[in-house]
Amino acid sequence: MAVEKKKSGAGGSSSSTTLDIKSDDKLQAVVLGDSFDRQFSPITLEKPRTLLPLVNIPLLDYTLEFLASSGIAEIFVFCCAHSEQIKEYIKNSRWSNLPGLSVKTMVGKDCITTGDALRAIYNSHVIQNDFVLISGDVVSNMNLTKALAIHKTRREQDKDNIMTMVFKQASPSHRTRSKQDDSVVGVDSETLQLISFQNSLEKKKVHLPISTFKKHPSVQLRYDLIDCHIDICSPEVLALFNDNFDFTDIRKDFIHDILSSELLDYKLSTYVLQNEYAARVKDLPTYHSVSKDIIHRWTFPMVPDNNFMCNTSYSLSRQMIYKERGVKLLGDCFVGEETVIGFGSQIGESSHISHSIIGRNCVIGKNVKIVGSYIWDNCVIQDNVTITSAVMCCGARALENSTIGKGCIISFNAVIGHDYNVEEFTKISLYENDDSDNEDEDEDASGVAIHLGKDGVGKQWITVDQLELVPRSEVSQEIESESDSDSVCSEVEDYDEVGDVETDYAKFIAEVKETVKRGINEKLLLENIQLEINGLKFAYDRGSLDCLTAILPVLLEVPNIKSITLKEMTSTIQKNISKYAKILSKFSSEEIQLDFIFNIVEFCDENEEYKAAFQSILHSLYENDVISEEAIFEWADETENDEDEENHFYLNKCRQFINWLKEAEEESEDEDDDDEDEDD
Amino acid sequence: MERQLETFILHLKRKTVAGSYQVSRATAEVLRHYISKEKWQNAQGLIEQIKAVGKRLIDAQPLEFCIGNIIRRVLFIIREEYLTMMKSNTNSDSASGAKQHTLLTYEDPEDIDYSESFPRLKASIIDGINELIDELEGLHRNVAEQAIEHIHANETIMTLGCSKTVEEFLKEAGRKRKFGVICVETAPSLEGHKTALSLSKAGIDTTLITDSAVFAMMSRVNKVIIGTHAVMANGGLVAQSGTHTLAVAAKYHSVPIVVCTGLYKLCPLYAYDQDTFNSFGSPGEYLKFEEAEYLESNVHSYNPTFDYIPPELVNLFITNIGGHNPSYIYRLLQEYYDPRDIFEDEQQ
Repeated sequence: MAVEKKKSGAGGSSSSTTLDIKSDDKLQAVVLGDSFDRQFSPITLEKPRTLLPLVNIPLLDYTLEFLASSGIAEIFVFCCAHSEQIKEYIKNSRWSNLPGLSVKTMVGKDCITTGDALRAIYNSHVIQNDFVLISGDVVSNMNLTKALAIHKTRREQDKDNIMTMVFKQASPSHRTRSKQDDSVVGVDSETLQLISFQNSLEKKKVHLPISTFKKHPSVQLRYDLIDCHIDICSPEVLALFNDNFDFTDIRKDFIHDILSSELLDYKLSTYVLQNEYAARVKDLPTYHSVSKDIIHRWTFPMVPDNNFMCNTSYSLSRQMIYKERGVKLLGDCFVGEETVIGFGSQIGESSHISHSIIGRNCVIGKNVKIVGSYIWDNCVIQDNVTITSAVMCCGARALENSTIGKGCIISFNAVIGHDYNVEEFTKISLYENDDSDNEDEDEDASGVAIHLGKDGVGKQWITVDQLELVPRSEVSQEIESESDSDSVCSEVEDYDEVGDVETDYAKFIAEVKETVKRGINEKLLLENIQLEINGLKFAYDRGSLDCLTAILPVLLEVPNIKSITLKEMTSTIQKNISKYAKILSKFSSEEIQLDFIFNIVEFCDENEEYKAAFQSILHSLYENDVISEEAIFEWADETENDEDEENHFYLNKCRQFINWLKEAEEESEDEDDDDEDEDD
Repeated sequence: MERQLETFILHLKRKTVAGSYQVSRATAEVLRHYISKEKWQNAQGLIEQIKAVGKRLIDAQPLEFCIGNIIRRVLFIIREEYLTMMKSNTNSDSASGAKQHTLLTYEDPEDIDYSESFPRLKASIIDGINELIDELEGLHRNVAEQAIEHIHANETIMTLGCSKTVEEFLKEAGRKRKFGVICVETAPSLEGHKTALSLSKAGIDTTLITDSAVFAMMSRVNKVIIGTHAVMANGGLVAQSGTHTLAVAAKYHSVPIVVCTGLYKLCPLYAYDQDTFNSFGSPGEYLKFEEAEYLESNVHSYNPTFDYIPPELVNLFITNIGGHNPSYIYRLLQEYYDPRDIFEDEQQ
């Protein structure tokens, strides 16, 4: 791993003369300049997340200012993707020559996970003391000195206290809490030691081994904490990462390993913020809500009108309107509450702007309506444009009479043509995907040519597994119902509350159907659909059989079912099943296959149209390894013995198929065995 | 020097140096250091340099008015020292006829030429700034010395916030006389609690009330004594938020309002409404973040730092050079600041 160290500016050497910081215990911090995920694509294909403007100031500046004002003397910014841009930025910014502070960049081009980055830092031997490990997209005004002191005393008491994690209290549905962060944190109520940390949407139960309670007589399980991604670490943390080369992430691997390890006696602690603010810009929804928090001044003194970077000139007027000098408001334009407008921007007559952030040197025409949007520097918005809850990156343009819908991202320099209406949640970018070594999944996230109206330039970008700036209406329902089930499912506290099973089941079925349909329509990866269904399965505490039963009807859906011939119908069904069988086979296992067949029978009973197609359904399921022949035989036997004649209808239907199966089995016993293995 | 300035600006930005008194002293010291270390040819050059530095400092924290005040005081000292030098020079050079000439003709201040260089100018400017720093140091004592004239036995005084000047003032009076103090708690910072604690420790009979009780309690108060963040050119105040309510309540009950302040808080700017020189703090001071989500969509939360109190609500200023009427403030301004030392941005 090539780690090059670069000292930017002359900040390092003659620093400690004016600030009263003792040089022997110089405080160090490591800033991870890469997020190692794709939450902000396609924007982050061209610019690293840390340099994206948050209320018109790059994210990295918030993090660095936070560290610098806490008395950190040496900051290492570790960058991977777009490292040149970050290096260039730091070199040209005021960070390179601030008294009492040295900001150095480290580049690890090959790093693809946090673990790789930490190993690279370990191998560069720059960290000697306790240090602050922070992501380059954290905004905070917390008093780090206090947390550092607490970490130090804990460590003096017990050498094994190697890390203190910072949390902020907020209710589970708080907007600043990322939907990805669904952590249940177990804390010893006396020592504040971290006992369990579970961050997964799938698991709805927390397991604590009995032995935990021997050591910790009282344990708090908390679901109201935001993980701020500010960790105060001892050098051992880096060493541990170096020893365990398979650690990729701090949260997922490292913490889990330390907590469950019986060999190592290391301890992790927690620090919950009181009246201070800290949050990470993790994805688009948190970008939205942290921006709001800044405008509402929760981050005070890190607010626009404090101009902490010394290169801005914001002033605050009533209703949380922040304007820089040189803003031109023409005629009768209306600037509503919670708005930020950068230097040199011009807003045309009769335009209406509210709840939005406008960057520098933007030109906004007449009769424009912008609500709840983020317009970065140098954008051009022509007359009669409407923009609602969207992001327009630097240099993007919206030509006359165009409309940009909710949740859209118009990436750098893209142009929306005349009279064009950009549909909701569309992402448009100019980025050309010319890396040949991209994996399969990347192709899914590549640009698709799209017509963007007259003079429009850009490609539509389809992304997978990404949270949107504002919730989609259907997704918001999902979230709501999820949080509903959360309150019921918090088994830790209340056992006696059990939701209405029937409605729960119906909800589950409806949601799985919705997921599969959406997945097919948006051409998501089958694995992702699988994952989502799996998530729902855990959320509703359902078995695999229920999943299968819920998924199948969607696959069987045939357009104009009443008007087509049986042959056409069966061929469509067969095609569908073979295409999406992968989703089904994930949930299929031997024990439930028999029940599944009965469920199919039930389904056909309810839907007359499918009665005729029963054999072909069974056949294609068998061919795609969803159902094994044993299950089919077993079902045949059971139905045979059934006295109710009605049920024999289906058996007779597929007698031919079963006979064929039987013959095949008798012919080749050996192959059969192999088949069985595959079914497992 | 540049590095030191940069550090000071950082301290101002991050509010590690905060509070009018601390900021003023630090500013004066930084300027003294600058004048003694930096190279300059003559008074004219120095004035330009100080103005440039001053602009940077003011921009760092535009609402700490005393930065600008101290800079203007320093500029005034430079001009004054230069003029005395020039006068003594001309006096020794020319005959008494010239003196008569200056007495008779009016000299436009814009015409004065500051470009002559005097070897002893630097030393006398440094002396002048040292005097200024001495004045700042002795300020609390000087204000407190006048306490006996204003507080009489068995009076009830109401105060708000936490001002060192007011605290010293009351304590000084408390040494000689017996009287009661009602402290307003001043939410959300609750600085009034600190004042109450400190006064009761000094043996003064202290009552702590909530902000909402101000009006009800006012009827039994003899005098309101408060501190301020700045005194504007018209005699109005920019003071901690909550002061306006207090002042209006006092006016209603015809209770005199006395403002204790050092001269360095005198500011040649005009505030014409509540918003001109105001800032907002974090709503986190009175609202829990974890609860805020339910409020913020429809409820706005503001936490203003200052109040503007118009001059007609103030009865008396007690400064380190004695008591003054609000209407006299403009005169004091002329005595301590030069009208040419205005920084463009402040003119708004």
